[in-house]
Formats: sequence, structure tokens, C-alpha cells
Amino acid sequence: MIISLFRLAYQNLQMKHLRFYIILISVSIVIGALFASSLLILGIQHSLDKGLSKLGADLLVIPKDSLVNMKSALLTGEPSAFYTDSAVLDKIRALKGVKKVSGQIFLTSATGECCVLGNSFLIGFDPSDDFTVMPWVDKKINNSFPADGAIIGSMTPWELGDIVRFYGVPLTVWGKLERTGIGLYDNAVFFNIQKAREMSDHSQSDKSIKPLANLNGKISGALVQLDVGAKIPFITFSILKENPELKAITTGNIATSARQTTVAVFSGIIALIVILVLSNILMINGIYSAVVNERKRELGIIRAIGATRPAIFKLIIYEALLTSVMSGFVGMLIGGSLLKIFQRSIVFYLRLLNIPFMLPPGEIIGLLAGGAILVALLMGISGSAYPAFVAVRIDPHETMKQGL
Amino acid sequence: MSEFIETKGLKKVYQVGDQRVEALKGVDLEITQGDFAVFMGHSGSGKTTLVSAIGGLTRPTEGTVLIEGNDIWKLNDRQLSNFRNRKIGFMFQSFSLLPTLNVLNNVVMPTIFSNSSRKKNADELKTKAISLLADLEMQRKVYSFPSELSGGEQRRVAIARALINDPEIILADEPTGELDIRTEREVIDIFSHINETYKKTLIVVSHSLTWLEKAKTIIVMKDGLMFKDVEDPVEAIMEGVCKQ
Repeated sequence: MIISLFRLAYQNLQMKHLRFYIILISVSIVIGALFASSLLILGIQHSLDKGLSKLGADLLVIPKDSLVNMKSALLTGEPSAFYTDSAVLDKIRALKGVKKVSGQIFLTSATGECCVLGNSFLIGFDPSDDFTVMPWVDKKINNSFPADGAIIGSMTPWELGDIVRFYGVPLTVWGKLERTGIGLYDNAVFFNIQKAREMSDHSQSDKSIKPLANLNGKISGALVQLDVGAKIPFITFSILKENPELKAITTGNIATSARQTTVAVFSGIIALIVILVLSNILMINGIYSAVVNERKRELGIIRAIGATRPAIFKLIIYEALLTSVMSGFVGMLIGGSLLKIFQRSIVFYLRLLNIPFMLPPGEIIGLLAGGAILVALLMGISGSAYPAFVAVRIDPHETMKQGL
Repeated sequence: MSEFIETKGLKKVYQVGDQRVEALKGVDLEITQGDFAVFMGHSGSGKTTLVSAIGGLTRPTEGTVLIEGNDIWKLNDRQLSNFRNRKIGFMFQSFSLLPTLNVLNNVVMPTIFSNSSRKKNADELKTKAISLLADLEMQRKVYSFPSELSGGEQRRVAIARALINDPEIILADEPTGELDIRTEREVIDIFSHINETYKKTLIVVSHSLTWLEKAKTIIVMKDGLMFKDVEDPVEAIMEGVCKQ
């Protein structure tokens, strides 16, 4: 093959194997860590987005005091314990621009009772006005949701037809939701809102369990779907004007909040990666400064035989780019492989922290891979730019004088 | 033969710390096309500086370098690089081949920086390089690496590299330094062959008197001054030695 500037750069890499491998290993570690942690963060966010999108609602209306808990509930699957009067549902329905309103009651499952999952999110919903649960049922016994039926999240341990009992109220598992990756859905059990009130009544009379609040005429919140073209801020304003005890949050806000929580969890890792990126740029700079110094003679000859200053600059940059791009691919391979190998353990530990995780879709992983390569490229360019400028200033006459 | 290379009042001053060193003290030189000029003189006499100024490698402090009537030091970096690439074939003393490239790629290396040459396809370039190497009896070493070649063979490859862009001037700085007498004679014969066969203008800087046998023009450099057409160059050089 006839030589080209790019090939010349590639050939030069083969001169100093040790340096090449030092950069390769170091940049690979950084890119691997960056790729794997980004994949984790995006996986968590994807789980949240997917789960939130399944709400099918534009607004979530809840008691003012339960706002923080609600965000926590959506992120972690921990239930809320604040309630408001169910009469608000009709008030909201009456507003112009509101298409559908569905009330729900969130309960904490009792522990210590037979066949009860300690961390389940028990949700009572009204099948007559529901638009957030039924459309997402993956498997079901038949087409008619019974009064004592339950719809379970994908991570709950039961199967269709099983009988489950919460607060003394038996329910038959009628349907199962597909996996969302979000605690709210995956660990939830949905049932008729009347059953939630029965559970409340039963908890008041059964002294062996912690009593629930009196839920007659109460709801935990309302999911609101707006008409096409209706402005969320206007509807929010109308709801709050008439119901100052409530808070209306958009699902977008919840997602943002959840993302911030996720980023906060991973901020330490992100900070470490930033430090690693900067230190690698310095390392590449140091190595290429030495390379340019050692190859002054050779660069002088190349300059003498007709290389322009930009050509010399490109030669050095190409070398660094080749190394860093190769390192980027190796890093992604290592990071991706480690994530795949330890996916079960990682998901397990994230679940212990009540953080949902699902691998993002292929196109997102592709973009992430592109981003990782771009970071590797930028590291290569940043690290080698100054040595390349030094190389450009090499005087070919000096190389001749030195007896080259 | 027409005037081809001309320098007028060429001066070069280096500032070494507080000291001002005059490497060239106003050199007026004319070299005709097809000449075989050998620059002789002691170390520090200004030979390499003069040749570097002619070759577009070091900017003179004063004076002009005209190649075919054009002042090369009025060119910008890109134009000057292109001039070096197209008009001049450089040959340096030793270790001037790139160790990571085989003989073929070392020879075609200047074409990387020559846009017009790159328009030729790879096969054409390869054929030309192999033809040049064959002319220099190096056809069996096309895919060898510099570390596998003798000193004489390395010089032949460097000559082929200097010729690949078909330049009009070959500029060689100590091309036979560190070679034994026999190999030196072989290299000088090759230069003579290039001068006669390819009609190239040769400018050679050397300490060796062996070049005098083949040179058409002998220029003696001494203390930054140039002496052309001296009656007895050997005596002129030796005199310099005695004085020093």
C-alpha cells in the first residue's frame, strides 16, 4: 500500500509500543467508565421515562404535602400517605380543557401478613374512568375486569389466577403489566378503588395490623388528561385557584426531578470521570511532547521535503486521534462487557437502593457509543494540540545543521 | 545553459546569546541549469547555511535567492513548502530515512505533500518508485526496511526519494559522510549519472575531495564568503586549514 499522511501517522504509532499501550490502557479505562456509567444513568432515566409515559396523564394532582413523597414514590416505588377529598375529581372534570380525570388511592402494603409483599405499592383505581392502568395490561385472564380483580406489576411474585390478600381483603390476580423498570409500576398491585376503602375499613378493625387512614370519600391523587391544544399552565392555574390544598405537577416535571435525583446519585462517579479525562489529557500532552522532541530530526526532514505547517500539525494530531479512537473502542468494549457480565448484580444493587434500571434502546446505546468515541477524540485532540504546535515550529535547517 | 540559481548579497546572522555570528557575509552566486556544483570548506564556513537558504530552509538576514528569476523568500509558507516539494530533491547526511517505512514508502513519501503527484494513482507512483530504485540497483530491496540496509543502500534510497517528484534541483548536504571510500565513489558516480542522465542541477555540500573528480563547478566557502573558479581548490581548502 502506498503511503499517505494518515498511514504515516499509523506507521509512527508502531515505533513506540509502550507509549501506545500506556495511552491505550489509560484512555480505555476512562472511556469504559464513562460509557458504562452513562449507560447506567440513561438506563435508569429510560426506566423512569418509560414508566412515566405509561401514566398517560398530562398532570398529576395531589395533596400539597405529598409532593416530595410523590416524586420519591415515582422514583423508588415507596408509597405516599397523604389524601384529599374525592370531590375534587368532579371539580377538575368540570374545567374547560380537561378531557379525563382518574382518581387513585395509594396504600402501603402491610407487612407480616400472609402472602403480602412488604414493599408493594397498592393502588386503588376506578375502572370506570381509568385511562392509565388498563391500557397497559400485558397478560390477562379475560376481557372483563372483575370487582375483586387485581392487576400486578411485572416484578411482583404472583401469577394470573393467584389469590392475594391485603389488609384482609382477598383479590384475584386478573392481569399483569409489562415490565417498565419503574418502581411505581413494577412492584404495584392495582385494584378497584372500593377495595382500597374496604382495606382501610378492615385495618381499623384488625388490631394486628397498623391501621390505615379512613379512606372513605378520599383519594391520594388524580391523573388528568387534557384536551388536544389545552395549555397545561392554564389548567394548572385553574385547578390550584379552586383547590389551594392541592398541587399539580406535570409528568415532565417528575421526570426532570427524577433525573436530577439520578444525576445526584451518580455525581461522584461523573466528577471522578471528569478528573480522569483531564488527567488523561495531561498525560497525552506529556507523552506527545516527548514524542515530538525525540522525532525533531524526522519532522525536520519531512518539513524539508515539502510538508507544510498544517501537514505537520495533522500528522501529530492523526497519531493521537488514532490512539484515542482505538482506545475509545476498546474502552467501550470493556465497559459494555463488564456491564453485561455484571448486569444482574448491578440491577440487584440498584434495586436495593430502590433505583429502577432497564437498558436503553439500541439507538440510544448507539448515540452513547458515538458520544464516547467523540470524548476519546476530543481527549486525543486536546492532549496532542500543544505538542503539534511545537512540532510545527521545528526548523528544518536546524535538523540539517545537526547532521541529519 | 541559462542562469538558474542566483543569490545576491546573501547574508545570514545568527544571534547566539550575546554573540552575533555572521554565517554568510554577502554571497553572490550564480549556478546554471544542469550544473554539478560542489561546495567545499571547513565546518562553520557557511556551506550548509548557504545551501539551506537556496533550498528554502533558512531565511537569509539580507539578500535574495532567485530560482529561475523568482525570489523564493517572498513566498508564504505554503508556497515555499510547495517549492521545496516540487523543485528540490533533498538529500541529507545520514539516518534521513523514516525507520517505520519500507524502502518503497520512503521513496514515495514526498508525494504525500505534493497535490499534483497524489493525483497520479498509487500504481503509477509505485511503478515510478520501483523504476528509480531499479536505476539505482535497489530493485531487490523495495520492501526492505532502512534497518536492513547498508549505509550505501540507504543513500541510494535517499537519492530515489529526492528524485520521485522529478525536481529540477538536487540539494545534498554531506551525502557521503560516514561512508567508506568505495561506497563514497559509488554514490558520487550515481550523482554524476543523475546529472548526466536526468539533467538535474546538483548542489552538493561536502568535506570530501573525491567529489572534485566529478564536479563541474567547485565553490570554496570560507568564513561566510564564497570563492568560485579558484585555480587550485585543494590548495585553497588546505590553505584554509593551515590558517585555522
